[in-house]
Amino acid sequence: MDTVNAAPVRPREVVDAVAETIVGQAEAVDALVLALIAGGHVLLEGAPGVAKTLACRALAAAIGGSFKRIQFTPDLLPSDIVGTRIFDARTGEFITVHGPIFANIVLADEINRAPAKVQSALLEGMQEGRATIALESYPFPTPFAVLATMNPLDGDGTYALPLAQLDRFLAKIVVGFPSLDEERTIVDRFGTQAVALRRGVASLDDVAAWQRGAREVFLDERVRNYIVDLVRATRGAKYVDHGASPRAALALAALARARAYLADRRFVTPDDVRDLAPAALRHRLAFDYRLAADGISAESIVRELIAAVPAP
Amino acid sequence: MAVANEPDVTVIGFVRALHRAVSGLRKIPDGSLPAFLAGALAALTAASVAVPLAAQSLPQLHVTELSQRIDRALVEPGGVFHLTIHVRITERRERLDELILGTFENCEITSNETERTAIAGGTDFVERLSVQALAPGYATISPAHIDAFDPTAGRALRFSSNAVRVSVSNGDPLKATLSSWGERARAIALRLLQAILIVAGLFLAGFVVYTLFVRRRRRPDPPPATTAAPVAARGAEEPGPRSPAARLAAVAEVYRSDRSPAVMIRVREALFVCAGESPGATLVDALKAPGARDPDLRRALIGAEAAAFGPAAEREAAGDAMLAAIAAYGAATPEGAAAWTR
Repeated sequence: MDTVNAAPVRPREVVDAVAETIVGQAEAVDALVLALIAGGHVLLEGAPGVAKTLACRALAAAIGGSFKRIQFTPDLLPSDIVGTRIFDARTGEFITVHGPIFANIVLADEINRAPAKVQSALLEGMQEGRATIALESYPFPTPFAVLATMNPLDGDGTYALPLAQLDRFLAKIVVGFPSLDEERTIVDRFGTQAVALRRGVASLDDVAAWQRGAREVFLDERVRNYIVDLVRATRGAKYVDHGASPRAALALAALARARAYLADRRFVTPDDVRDLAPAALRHRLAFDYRLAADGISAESIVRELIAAVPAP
Repeated sequence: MAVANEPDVTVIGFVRALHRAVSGLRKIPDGSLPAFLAGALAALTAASVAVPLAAQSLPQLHVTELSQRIDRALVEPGGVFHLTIHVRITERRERLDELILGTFENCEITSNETERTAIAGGTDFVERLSVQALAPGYATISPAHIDAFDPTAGRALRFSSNAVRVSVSNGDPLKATLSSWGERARAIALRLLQAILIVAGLFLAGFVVYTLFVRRRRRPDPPPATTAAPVAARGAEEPGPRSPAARLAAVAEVYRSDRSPAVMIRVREALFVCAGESPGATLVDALKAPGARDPDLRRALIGAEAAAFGPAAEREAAGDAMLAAIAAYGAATPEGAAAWTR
């Protein structure tokens, strides 16, 4: 197939660099890079200790961007995220101190542990790409990506994210446990030495070029229709209270374009769409009580809905 | 169930009063004329006031139920059956002396028992009579009745029950019982048949109405006349049922001259079928299918993806690459080669 050569460094090299640090979790690593190419934010869900945070740090290091981590807690304030103005006694003036959200890669760890007010501050920044401190508006550095993590196990003391806010994440990745061999490798690799991150594999300019290149990837009419059919199939489906919005179709198209770009392809295939549909849809659906009553997992319903729509 | 009719209260009262007066006259000894005259006067007076007094003397009752029921349809001569008379009135009463039994023909009462129950909004009386059948034939009990002034109707009425009849037979009781059951079964079967015929008739009528009106309305307009499709060309595009490889070769041949997306879709579908996948699957599914081990077919499948979904400017080249791969695949397959070289 034809290749795209818009940037000197290919995004696949970043994937490989992150994969050198992270053992396994290929799907999660791919998804992080895809979201970066598509210019979106990612929600990572997984048990503690499955390398969610490390993957985000490795990605930030590989693209040579700034990385900030915010540990969400119940006592966190919006100003702890976006920043504030403080009085400088030496100059006798107020100066603006930017919060940790002003970074290329922001890791919002355990986003559901902070109250709604703090979540809103972060999610507004994600949507607008800028934050207002006092009366001044400040743009975030580009590329800008929020990688938020959620721990599905500890429900106590958490604040569930509303569907409208979840909708702002381009993709939700479920990070599972590593396989037996992967876990053995993890013990061998990290048991005695510190984690080594590969830095500067690509530049921020490369990332910007990837984002431009991905937007130029061709999306055939039939593949576009397939995307729309998948999103519409979630509405009114059994067990689904609220289906995915048109924003889901946009997200799926962006992810599919990014995947084609990552694979050095100039066009999107139905496989791109089908493989990424769970990531684009799973966090945008609200399920009704029957799901829990029948003991069915939401993930299986999403996969069934996708499988029921024939590819072009 | 009670049947209410106007009672003949006027005549009853007059006759009864007259009867009592005449009976009194007969008992007067000779020579007691003054006493006789006084008696006659009393009788005339009684007769003249009998009509209004009789009507006024009727009890006020509103009867809602008056029925007779027997526990057996067949008895032997001398055999005993039971008659139950059920009366329900809307008044609170301790006794119901107004109940007049019907005539007992070919049977006689041997014992009776009355049960009174106060119910919400009235009183229930149940009269249970043991009755002995006499000679072979039928034992008949005519309707029981109550004469009363019905306050709801505002006039005097006679409330009557149903009549009952018992067959009195000398024959084998079992046989007679079975015969009786047979008659009942026949009657039930006849009623069932009647009901089935009615339902079937209704269905038939409904179907006729649906066919005549509803379906006629729903029938779509005939399609507009269209120009005939190029049958010969279509025949060349879609050969008859052949092997997947032969069909692929045929549709690829069409694609050589017609690079439209519709034909490309058919080529891709034919490739999927060759691999062992059905349309609706994706390239990855097809490449995983057992039939896709052939390297030429794999190359053709990948080429088809670009020719089908790639940018318009690149489809021509992708299509050529795909056709080359299909040709190589066709040459490697005996059936395909035969179709390809035909």
